[in-house]
Amino acid sequence: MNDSIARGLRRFAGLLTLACFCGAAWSQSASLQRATDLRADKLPSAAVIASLPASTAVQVVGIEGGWAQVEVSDDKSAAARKSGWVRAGSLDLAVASSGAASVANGRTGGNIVALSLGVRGLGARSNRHALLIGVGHPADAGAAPLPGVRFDRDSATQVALAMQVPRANIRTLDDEQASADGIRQAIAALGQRVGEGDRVFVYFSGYGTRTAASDAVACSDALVAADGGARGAITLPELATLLKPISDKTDKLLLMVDAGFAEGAVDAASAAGGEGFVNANDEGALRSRFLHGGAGCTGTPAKRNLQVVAAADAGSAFPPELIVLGAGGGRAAYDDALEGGLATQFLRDCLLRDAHDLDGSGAVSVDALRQCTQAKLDRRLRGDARLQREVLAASGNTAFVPVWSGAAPARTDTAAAAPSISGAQALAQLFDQRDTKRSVQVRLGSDKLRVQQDALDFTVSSDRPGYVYVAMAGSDNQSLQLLFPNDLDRDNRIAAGQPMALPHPSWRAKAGGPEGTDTLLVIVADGPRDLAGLGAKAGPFISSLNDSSGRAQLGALMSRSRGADAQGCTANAAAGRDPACSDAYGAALLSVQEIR
Amino acid sequence: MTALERWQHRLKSLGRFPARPVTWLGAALFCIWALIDVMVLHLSHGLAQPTYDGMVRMRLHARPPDPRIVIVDIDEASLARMGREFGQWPWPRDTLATVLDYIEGQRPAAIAWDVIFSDADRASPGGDAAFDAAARRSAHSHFSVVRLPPAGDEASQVRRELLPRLWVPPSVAGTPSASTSTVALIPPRLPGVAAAQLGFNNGYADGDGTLRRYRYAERLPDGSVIQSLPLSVVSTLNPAAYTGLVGDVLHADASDPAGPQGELIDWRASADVYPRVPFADVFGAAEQGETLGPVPSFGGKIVVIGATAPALHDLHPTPLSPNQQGVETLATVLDDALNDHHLLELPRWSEAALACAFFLGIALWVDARGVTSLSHVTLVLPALLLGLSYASLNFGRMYLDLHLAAGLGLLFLAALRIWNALRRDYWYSMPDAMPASGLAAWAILGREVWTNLQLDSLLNALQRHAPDCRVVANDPSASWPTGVRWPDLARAATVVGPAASLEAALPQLRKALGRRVVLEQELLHMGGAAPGELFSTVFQGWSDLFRRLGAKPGAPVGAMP
Repeated sequence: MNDSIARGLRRFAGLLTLACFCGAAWSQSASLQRATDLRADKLPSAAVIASLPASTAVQVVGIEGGWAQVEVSDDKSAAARKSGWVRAGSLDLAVASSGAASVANGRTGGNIVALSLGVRGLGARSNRHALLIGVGHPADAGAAPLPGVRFDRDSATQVALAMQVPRANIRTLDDEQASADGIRQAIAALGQRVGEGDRVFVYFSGYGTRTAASDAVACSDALVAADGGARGAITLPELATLLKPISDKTDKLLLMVDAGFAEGAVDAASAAGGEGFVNANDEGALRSRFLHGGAGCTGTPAKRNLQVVAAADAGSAFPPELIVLGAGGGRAAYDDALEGGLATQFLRDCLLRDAHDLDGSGAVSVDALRQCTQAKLDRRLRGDARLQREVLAASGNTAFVPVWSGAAPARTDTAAAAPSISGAQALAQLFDQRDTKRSVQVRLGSDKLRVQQDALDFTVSSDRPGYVYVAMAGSDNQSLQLLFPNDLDRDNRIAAGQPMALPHPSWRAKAGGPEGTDTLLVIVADGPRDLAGLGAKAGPFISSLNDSSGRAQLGALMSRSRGADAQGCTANAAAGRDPACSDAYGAALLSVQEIR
Repeated sequence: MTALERWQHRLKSLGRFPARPVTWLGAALFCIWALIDVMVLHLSHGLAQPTYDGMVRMRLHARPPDPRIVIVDIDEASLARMGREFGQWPWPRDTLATVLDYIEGQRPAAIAWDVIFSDADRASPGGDAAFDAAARRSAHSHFSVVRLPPAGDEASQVRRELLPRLWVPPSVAGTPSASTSTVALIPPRLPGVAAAQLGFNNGYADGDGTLRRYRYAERLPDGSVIQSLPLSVVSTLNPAAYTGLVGDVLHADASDPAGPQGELIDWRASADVYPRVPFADVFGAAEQGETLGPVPSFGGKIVVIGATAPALHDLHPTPLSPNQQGVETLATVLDDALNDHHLLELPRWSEAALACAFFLGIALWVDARGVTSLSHVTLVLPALLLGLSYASLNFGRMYLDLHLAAGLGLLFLAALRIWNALRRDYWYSMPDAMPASGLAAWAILGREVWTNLQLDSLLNALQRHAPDCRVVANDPSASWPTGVRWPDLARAATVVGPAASLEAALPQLRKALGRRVVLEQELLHMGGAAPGELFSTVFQGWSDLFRRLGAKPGAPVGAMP
């Protein structure tokens, strides 16, 4: 009964919107989905009247082409009202569905033949792996099925593909396969499969719960496996223990858990056993992804963060290469019956399209993804008092960039443009992508160089064999140069534990001024890089533009071993694989003063 | 006797059957084969399709493209350029709205969208709103839906009231005024698009995955008709052609290739003949920004907006190319429909009828001239038929598909020749049951070298009147193409068999050969069929005949050819 009323109301709302669109003149309230510029005309080159932050309320008075004419008022006075144009795509305007799209039309059937357009992606890399786990029907008596989990599998697959995981390297565990033992075995098998320097994405979609911890002193957060109950719970400490061998071996391990660890719903309908309810922001019924634990375990676990859990329970700290995305804050998570877990679907949208380069790295970091996802979560739950806020938390190396495309990410407006950063900051961002398990030591001959007199000299040593790359951000705060290897000296192989003195006798790098600080990034990569794409030369050195595109290109090339797609690497045999297959690198960042 | 020898023996025994019934029976069997293939099996398509594709690629001339058609191309360069601001495809639809308004403002003849707007863009709802508004304003846009397999029609609730402009109007070509049929399809999500002129945008490939035909409209069970995207465009630009195409579909029967299967596409000369403008350039011109090349005026043009970027997968194998871009195909079928360029075909049954006529003609010929007379044309006749098909593709409005006649005709001719060889083997070798004594040899000296037709007559007479007799003769066909060696010796032949049978059959044999064939003859008696005695008797007979001839006309005995 409630559903039919809700459907009727939605249809009525749709008709109202339709009526609005058919009218000769527009007048509709909306808000900005992202920060954007208010312009004097419907052209990107038109004068900027004001820069409007995200969520600004506007009155739409007309739409022409891809632009919407809006009015914005700073306060109640009409005099403060500004009128101008914004891209229509930046608005959260509602639009109804056509009648034909709202009824059964055969799309869900099989054997569909169509001339259709596809979706673009980057080429897969053999050293990427993913394990996707979905438990929508746990055996617990009190656990209602989570209808959104079946959508999460597709969303997580898209995320994995965007992270360049080949389809052959994506393993999925669905429902009955995802018993607690099944999950343990799958993670163990993943550990066997991955090699040194690989990248791994592990994903869980389903219920979270609280269960008695192994020490029986406190409750512990846990994931609900398909077999349910105490036997079917994998506590976070256990998960940490299971993942530790993988994290120790790989370059980066991105773990995403789309499960709740606290009851976020304040009414029965949206609780775990409820039928869910619809709010005004979208169509899918929402349910909590938290399942109440057994008797005697209703308190809040003290250990919340997987890194912290690991330090205490797994015996040693996790390196920052384990990056965890999961419920934070009140630790609620919700399931959308039509589109899957909220965090999952929004993370997918952000990774594939919507996230912006917030740190100027030329790419989208985990933190930027988190922020983008959070904005979508807030919009989805906006104005709904029945649900607590869902917060997506990130831990570990949140500066990690999951996908370097080699091109600057989408920029939809001036306000969201990548910040202008110095060359030193750009190198620091590349430094953040390193694998901290690799040790690179650099000893400077002198950390002060006199302009036009002294030359740079330093010694590099590494705990692993590899290939040395030296980038420098000049004291002019403009240039980014790859000092080594260069046209005069291409032998950049380094042996483990053997110091390499640079520059070699064939070249020198003399301090050229102005006074200030040069930043030096020394990378020892497992495999060689193909930097020919960087193009421009400054003498014998390759130079890279310190703009968003230049940094994106540099980041993409530095994070990709030239040999990883060679035949020997694609064989996917972790054991005995050539280190050249690895994308990982160790790095050291240091400063040199140029003085008079 | 080994198994192989047993098989050879059985095969050879096939040669004992009379020529005429075998020939006509063969023709009848091949006719039935052709009928079954056309109606049921379609095995010959494996030959027909590559043959047709090759002919299309090698045409002497093709129709020029309609100069009004221009493609706004979502190409790889556009993806790269637009991606800087709008990210990966599909871009927010306000970008498409910008381009639509820009083109619409130049008063084009039509805008055909080879893009499916099936789902809401939840990331940019404002973009959807903008495109929806632009679609409502556009008077020239035609949008695509995707027709799903009719098996889903019953479950679908989409009927004419929901997408009225997908259906052919009741006033056209006698379509019914009311429609109750539901169709399974992927509809437009935006109401402004759903209310616009629509057409399904499907390719129906042949069994080998190649797109050769296009279905301009589909007749539904209640007699109403839904139209394709090109047909929707034609409805506004060439109403007469529109009515004609709808009428073709309405009145097509199941055996008509242009009915349910669609009609052959009349391809242009190559796979990329229509002018293209990168989408990014049109967008740049609309926003008074950067363009890499000149953007032409779209006034009066038929603008097809689609994608050729490789990563967007809008590629299909066609006779012209294994990777033809879908938008180019759409432009071609639109061009064909608009300008009444139709490549007609005969009904399928007529292919079988033509093939049967060909087989009967062969049988008649064999009846009159013998099988061996076809040896020079075994390949030429089928090639001539294919040449006829090729000529029709180049110079006519109707493609005469003679691949079935050519293919099966070649098989029929080959079968006849094989059977003829078996027949010679049978009558030219000694039978297993030849009696050990009481044999006779009828030596014959012809006026000329024996022709194949004369030898066939001799074999036919033996088959009828003396089936236990055999022939010793030179086979003049064996020496082709170098000519008959020892031609005088090739004038001699001998019929060997039981004396009683041979003597009884002699009058009929003489009659069958006639005086115009036989110059001299002699009946000799011999003891048994031992090789030594047989050969000595045969050669004695020939020797007697040649001696009797003396210096009569003919080349000197033993002369080299």
